[in-house]
Amino acid sequence: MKKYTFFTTPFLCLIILSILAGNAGAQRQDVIKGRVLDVLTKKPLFNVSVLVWRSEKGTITNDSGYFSIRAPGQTKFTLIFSSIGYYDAAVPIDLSARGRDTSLLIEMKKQADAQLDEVIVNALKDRVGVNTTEMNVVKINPDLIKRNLVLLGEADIIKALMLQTGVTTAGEGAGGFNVRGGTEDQNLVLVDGAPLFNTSHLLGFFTSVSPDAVQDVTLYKGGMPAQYGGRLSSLLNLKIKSGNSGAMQYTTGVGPVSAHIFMNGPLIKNKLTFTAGVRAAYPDLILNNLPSKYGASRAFFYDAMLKAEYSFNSNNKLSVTGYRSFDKFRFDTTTYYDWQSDLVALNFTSKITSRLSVNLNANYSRFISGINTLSAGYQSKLSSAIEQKQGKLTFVYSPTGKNSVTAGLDYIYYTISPGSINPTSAESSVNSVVTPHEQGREAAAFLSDEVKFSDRIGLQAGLRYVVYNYLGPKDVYYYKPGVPMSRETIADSVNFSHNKSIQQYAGIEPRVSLKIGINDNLTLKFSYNRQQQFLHLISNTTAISPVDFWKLSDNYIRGQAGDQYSAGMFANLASVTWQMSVEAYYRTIQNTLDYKDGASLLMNRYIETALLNARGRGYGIEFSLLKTTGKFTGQFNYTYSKTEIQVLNQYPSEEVNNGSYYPANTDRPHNLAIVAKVKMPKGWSFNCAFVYSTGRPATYPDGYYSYNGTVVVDYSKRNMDRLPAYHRLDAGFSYVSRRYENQKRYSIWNFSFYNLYMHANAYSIYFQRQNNLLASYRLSVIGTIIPSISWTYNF
Amino acid sequence: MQKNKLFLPALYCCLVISSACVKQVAVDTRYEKSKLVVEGAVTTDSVPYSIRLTYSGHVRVADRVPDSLLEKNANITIMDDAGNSTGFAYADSGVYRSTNPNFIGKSGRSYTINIELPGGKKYISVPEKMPQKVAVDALKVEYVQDFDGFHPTYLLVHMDATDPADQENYYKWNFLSWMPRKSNGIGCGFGCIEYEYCFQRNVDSFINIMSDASINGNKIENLLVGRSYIYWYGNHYIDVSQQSLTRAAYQFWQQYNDQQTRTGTTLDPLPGSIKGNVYNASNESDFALGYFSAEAVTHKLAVLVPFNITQFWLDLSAQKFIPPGPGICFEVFHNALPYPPSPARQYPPPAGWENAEVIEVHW
Repeated sequence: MKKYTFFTTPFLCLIILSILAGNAGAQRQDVIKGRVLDVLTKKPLFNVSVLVWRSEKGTITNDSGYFSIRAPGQTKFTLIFSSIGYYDAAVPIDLSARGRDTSLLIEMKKQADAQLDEVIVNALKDRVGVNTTEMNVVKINPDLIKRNLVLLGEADIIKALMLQTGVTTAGEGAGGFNVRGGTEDQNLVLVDGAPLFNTSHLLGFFTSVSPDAVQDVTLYKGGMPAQYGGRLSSLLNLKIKSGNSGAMQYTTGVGPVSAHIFMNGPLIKNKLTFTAGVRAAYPDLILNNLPSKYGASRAFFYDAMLKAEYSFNSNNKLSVTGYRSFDKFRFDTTTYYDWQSDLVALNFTSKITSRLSVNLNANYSRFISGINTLSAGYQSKLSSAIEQKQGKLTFVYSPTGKNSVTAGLDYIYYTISPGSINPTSAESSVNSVVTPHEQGREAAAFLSDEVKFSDRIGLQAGLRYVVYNYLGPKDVYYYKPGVPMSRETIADSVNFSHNKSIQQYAGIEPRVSLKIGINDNLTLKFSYNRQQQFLHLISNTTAISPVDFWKLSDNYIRGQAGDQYSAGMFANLASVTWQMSVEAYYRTIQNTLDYKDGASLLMNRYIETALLNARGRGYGIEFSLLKTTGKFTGQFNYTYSKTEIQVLNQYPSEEVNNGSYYPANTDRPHNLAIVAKVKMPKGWSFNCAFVYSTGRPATYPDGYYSYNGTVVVDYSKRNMDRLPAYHRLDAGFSYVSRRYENQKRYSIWNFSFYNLYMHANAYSIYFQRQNNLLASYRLSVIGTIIPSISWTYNF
Repeated sequence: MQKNKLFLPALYCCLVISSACVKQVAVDTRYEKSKLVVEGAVTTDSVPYSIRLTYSGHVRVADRVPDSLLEKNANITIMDDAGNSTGFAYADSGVYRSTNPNFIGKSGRSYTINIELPGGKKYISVPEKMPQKVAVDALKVEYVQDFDGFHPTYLLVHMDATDPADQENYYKWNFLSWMPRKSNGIGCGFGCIEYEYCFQRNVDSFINIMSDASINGNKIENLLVGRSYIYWYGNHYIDVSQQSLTRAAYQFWQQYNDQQTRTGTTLDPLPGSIKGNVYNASNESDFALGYFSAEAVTHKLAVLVPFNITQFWLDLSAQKFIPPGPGICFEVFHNALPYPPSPARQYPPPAGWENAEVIEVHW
């Protein structure tokens, strides 16, 4: 087995680079450091843009609200602080008057809603990232999502992400999301550092985390920082709101199928705050009153969030976040599905010195799904589950204003129950059957440095070294060589004891991003990222479904590895009124999974015999144009991309499409989203959005034959056809009754018309026999206009 | 009152749910190269066995396979691992029948098919080991007063069996019934009508399979096996056959069923070829469609005697299924047997049911 040494040359280079950068900075003393807080809640604000007025120098605050920036040549200058949802703050600096005391404490005021003028998805004034080194990043303000166009009255985080370049979904009502052609399981979704394995309610109609609970949403499309890993395509980082330390705040709202209430405030003044909330859906109340055709259907979900934060002093803080979501639905009276997510995250942050801070994150997360059979005599439940325990230690060292080093250790222990069946009634004939559990551990060390060589040139470089072990107890099967793996070709089996390593994979993941500023308003960026993933969602359906389950890499299923190369141009136009970005990427994936035709997955002890090792490639170009200020704001996002899969096998009978590259399920070449918002008098605004995307690949019949007295279709070529293009226009009005900055009690009304011109977009096209004749049918999940109204009240 | 309060939200929900629509659409069809389709089995039932050879292509109706897609000139041999074999002779519609009357399937033996096509291409199958038979313990029948424009009221048949604990079992059930039917017959003189009554053979087409993976050694209780529709007075003659399959055959039928019951939702598995166990002897990646199986079969025959049929219910639920105008019953209905002219409400049973269990159905 290939072995790696932890501190290899790249790590040393990075450390040397960091030291050199630190020394370079130490030669000059004009470094301004400080921290940015919310004036009301006193919570730190991260990702705040810090710019030297009338210069191109800039930086952003870190997760704890700290920043440091080199002063310009002159002794008097002004720093501009800006963040989405907050009033800009201008701070004049006079170095001659301050002497060596360059530490600042900035408190920013939240804007009154009526004065917000950002578009739905926005971030800094520098939305496209002209001044930052990182690329492939999307940031969302959850407060603005609530005034977005909504489906069924529910503001939704993932639906807001869908309007961005490079983010797609399998279709309406499909769970999860796809980033740059990646699969749903290649997205790492973190809630205060803990992973969330399921992001959807009602099979995908809603995101399972309410925007009311979230303070910040950041999506990294492929190029995530070195302190994160374990997924190939994206990181969706959700930060839960901290409680207001001043006074209690409440938000409640009601829509056609759900209602919510969230609250936050102090428990011990200036010491302990909390955030709590719950959202629940009540479609059952309505389904009970429907005609019998729909009367057997049932649906229900809820999610609840609780966060407590204790400040020992201004430098030390401890927070605990707890979350649960639950879903249950059925189409008929014989089967119902349920699934549940639970997580707990503990974060301790300490500022050890003015230059060094540390964060300790410990979390537990699990996801359980079940298929319940209700038929008399066979009452049973088929369950699968995944459990993750994680500890992570992160140090952030900022020796000077021109570099910031992040280093740490990460440890994850996985336990997976791929499937178990248990009787749920004394009359049931079903026996308890358990597919053996899986265990694995993933240990990683990471080190990254963001270095500003000059005001225009910056480098963010990082390394992550990962060691993964697949662990016993487990019976491992070995197959006869020279023939395809199947249950019939098992040659031997070996039992591995508890915690015995069955298979190890290890590797280095470099992450590099380079910024070259051409002038104050135009920047070029280049990045390269490598990621590995040892966790796979086994799913032989188009989108995430309740019959999917998680699987660890083992001695047959290798860890997936992805490389992404990207380049981009980012520009502010017309004094930042217009912003533009163009990003191109090319990515490759090794050891991704595909499935044999008709693969039997559930409760399969020999799952490796049903899976195919594949490789993928993808490329795309993403164009984004934003107008962020004025009465009219909006965005125009267009992506052209391709994602393809290839299954090459030593046994030709196991190849797909004769071993040629074929479109992946997520391949949707053209994606367009146009969003516009017009501010109207007295708190009203008009919103509309148009989306278009190429239909996803599909497999249509390419032959028909007679068998067992019926016509059977043959699907011999995978994904060689395509569903019709998807397009939709939404429009609506929102009303915010907030009139002045300190108004505590105000309402937000949202009137939306989803799918305004009633286009029946195809979720799928399938083939079925009707009166002994085979016909093709289009299933549209939403085939008409859906009006909705929702009300949120803040007090 | 409560319903009135919820009228508006219910209306809204109706709108949302009914917007999820299914519509028949036309799509462009690609045609890949035709593949050989093999359909047949060796069973523990009596000979002759049938093997059907056709090709995939443009087939729109199952029993109207174009002549160009029938294979009429193949050489077929089935052999077992004890050295026995049988040849096949072509009958019609792509069907060949076994020629050795002594070649009968036995549990525990392995069976293989050899097919040689006119061009010299040879297909062979992965050997199928005939499983052990499992008996049907009992049948249960109930009357279901549920009718609509597509079917009248019916007798619903369930069965019980005991799964053997000492082996893996995979089951497939078939259901056949002979149902009394009535047409208007034809005139045979003043006041005389004949050929009014007949039996129609009905085979339930739904795929009914089960693995004992989660019920090993337990009772298979109250398993639905079929429906026999009440079109007219008279007894129903049913045959419940319980087939013991190999695991590979079970997986084939599972894929077949998945494909026949697609609904286009997120729960549908991705479509793919239903690969069987017959492949080109010189190129494994060239596989034939269909499956050659070895099935151990037990039958449970019964005569169902519906006791409470009234003219009122027949008029209400079954009258619409009597075709208007004169017509000979066994010609009007597909797969019908001729029986003596009326008046004859008690028909002679079809062959084979002479000693079958009689089950009276009261309601």
